[in-house]
Amino acid sequence: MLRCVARRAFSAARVRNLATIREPGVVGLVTPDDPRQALKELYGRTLEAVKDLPESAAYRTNVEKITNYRLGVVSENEDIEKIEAMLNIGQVQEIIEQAENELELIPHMADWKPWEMQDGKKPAVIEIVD
Amino acid sequence: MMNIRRVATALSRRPSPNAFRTLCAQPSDAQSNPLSSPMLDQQKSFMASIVEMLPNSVTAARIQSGNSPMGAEMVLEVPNDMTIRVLRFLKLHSSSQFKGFIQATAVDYPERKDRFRVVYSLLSTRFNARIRVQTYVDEITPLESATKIFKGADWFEREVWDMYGVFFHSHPDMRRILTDYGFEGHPQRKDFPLSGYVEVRYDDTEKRVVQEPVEIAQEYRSFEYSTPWEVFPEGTRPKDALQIEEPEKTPS
Repeated sequence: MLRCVARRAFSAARVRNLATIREPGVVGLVTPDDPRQALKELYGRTLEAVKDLPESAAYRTNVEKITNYRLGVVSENEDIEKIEAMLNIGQVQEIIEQAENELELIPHMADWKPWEMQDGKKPAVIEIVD
Repeated sequence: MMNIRRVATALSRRPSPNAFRTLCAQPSDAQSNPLSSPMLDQQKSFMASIVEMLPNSVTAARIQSGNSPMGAEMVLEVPNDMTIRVLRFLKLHSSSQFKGFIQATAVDYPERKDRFRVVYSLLSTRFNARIRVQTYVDEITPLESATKIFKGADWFEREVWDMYGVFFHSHPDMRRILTDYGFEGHPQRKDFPLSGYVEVRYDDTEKRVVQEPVEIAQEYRSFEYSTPWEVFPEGTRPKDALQIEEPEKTPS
């Protein structure tokens, strides 16, 4: 009985997803019921987590820039396909994965502090070698 | 079809569709400079953003063979205690997404103090980009294994250990991979002799394969490379070498 209900609920969710969201082209990615909500939550958590880093760090400003831009696109548009086309970084499942990656990276960066330069040292200059 | 075209026009209408895609600004001097291409400009700004974000961990950043219109090879040099942090950053950061581990290898420069250059090659299928992360170590400095971040690094690091003797700590299975059990030395080092230290042969009296130290007389080492037939240079034939006497000609 319970299993029957669960299966029905699952297939209903599946049908709803299939109507709007394409299956990911990558194995192992799951499609949440409401990808926009999932993305908004992830981006909110990212913007919260990144506050631990110093404001002068380029990493923090870059992450904030990217996340705010993506959050804006996700909140403004209802249509998943339109969000995917505007962000141009893959299907929504992959966008979610990228958001999770960034969130996973932030504590490591806070630990690492790559922005702290030793006195007298300068950042590398990019050389173009033929 | 309609759908694709609509997306395409929507993209072209927006001022800078890729501005946040790879963090890279759009090329400004693509027309004026014949050597620059949109790809190369993207790579330049990508490298600039990496150096900006990790200023204390990038010792050199290069774009090699930069005159190709298809862009070039991005190379990052990092301190040898920072490799896996940089690899993790490149894998997880939104604007790099280097998820593919292509290979790890090493190069030996015996004249340098840190004689081994260990190289990791990564691929980002998301942004169609490749990057090389290099570091320099000497014989005794261990590197941290990248297997935490890329599972595929396992065998490559064993290979580097086997061939060059660069040790990786926190590796799940740090053994030799290519050479024989009980092998001594690291064959890809420049100071490893071409003939090796031991030779292997089947011993008929012991009925097994035996390993013996290589014994090659010094004169046999003076190879002549110009011809495959006469391997002894003129005048260096050993005195006690076997002489074949010519049969005496009988007067006819």
